[in-house]
Amino acid sequence: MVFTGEYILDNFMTENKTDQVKKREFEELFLPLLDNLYSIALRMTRNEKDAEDLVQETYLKAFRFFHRFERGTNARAWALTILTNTFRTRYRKKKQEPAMVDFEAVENFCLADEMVKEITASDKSEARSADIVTSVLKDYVSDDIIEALESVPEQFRIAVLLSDVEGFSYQEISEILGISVGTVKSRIFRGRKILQKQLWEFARQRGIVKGK
Amino acid sequence: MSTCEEAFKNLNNYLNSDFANLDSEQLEKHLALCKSVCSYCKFSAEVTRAMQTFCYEKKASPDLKSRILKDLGLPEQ
Repeated sequence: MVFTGEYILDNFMTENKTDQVKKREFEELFLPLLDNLYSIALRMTRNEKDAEDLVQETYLKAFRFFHRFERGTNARAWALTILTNTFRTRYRKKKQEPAMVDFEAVENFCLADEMVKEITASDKSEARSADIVTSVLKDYVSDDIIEALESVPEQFRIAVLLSDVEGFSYQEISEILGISVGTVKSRIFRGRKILQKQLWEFARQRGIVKGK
Repeated sequence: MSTCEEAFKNLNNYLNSDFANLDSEQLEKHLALCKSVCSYCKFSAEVTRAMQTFCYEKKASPDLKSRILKDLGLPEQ
């Protein structure tokens, strides 16, 4: 086969055009997700620089493997799968979290029971139950919620984020994290419990609730 | 009336959109009468709502966007 100048130029133009179409399609699908991916990355890594690096690496990988993305499926879920995998392989090795959660105490903690105790301990007025929620919640600021969330160990935190913040179903989370639905349920349950315990502790420290 | 434990199980099914195992009638009856489960519901819902709000407070910086566009060979917008 003879590669004439015309053939080479034609081929170059076609490849270049395909590349441009691919870039445009990628841009349309994935760039609108940037803030969303950054927010999740920030809650995963817990610092801005690592979150930026994680998102940048995620975009590079997503672009490299864009041919594997099935058109018409959930682009956000696909990008989050890459983000969580990148986080797990790269950043988890970098920063091992100290085990700061007393799991036994978490297992024994039940927010509803604490609320019942609080209602009973103060007065028996029914209005008190609504007051507790209002007074506990009104005192929380953004930093409290973020601090409580970041106190949840990574594997549970990511499951809670994907479920309660991102609104993914058990099945979708199972696919994103590559774990069984049963494990997803268990991680979300424990993650929520650790979060509630931490928030209740904040309320106790501030004297809003008495509790132990 | 169902017990609080049964109500919590139902509530979890509701929160997780597990409608096959949800007894919504039983849950509604319980919530109408039980203040502690009601308080728990309100607290959980408010914490979730707060997380959804606060987690999105920080946006990606323009610098990050520029870096990504440059990596991908896309023009600055």
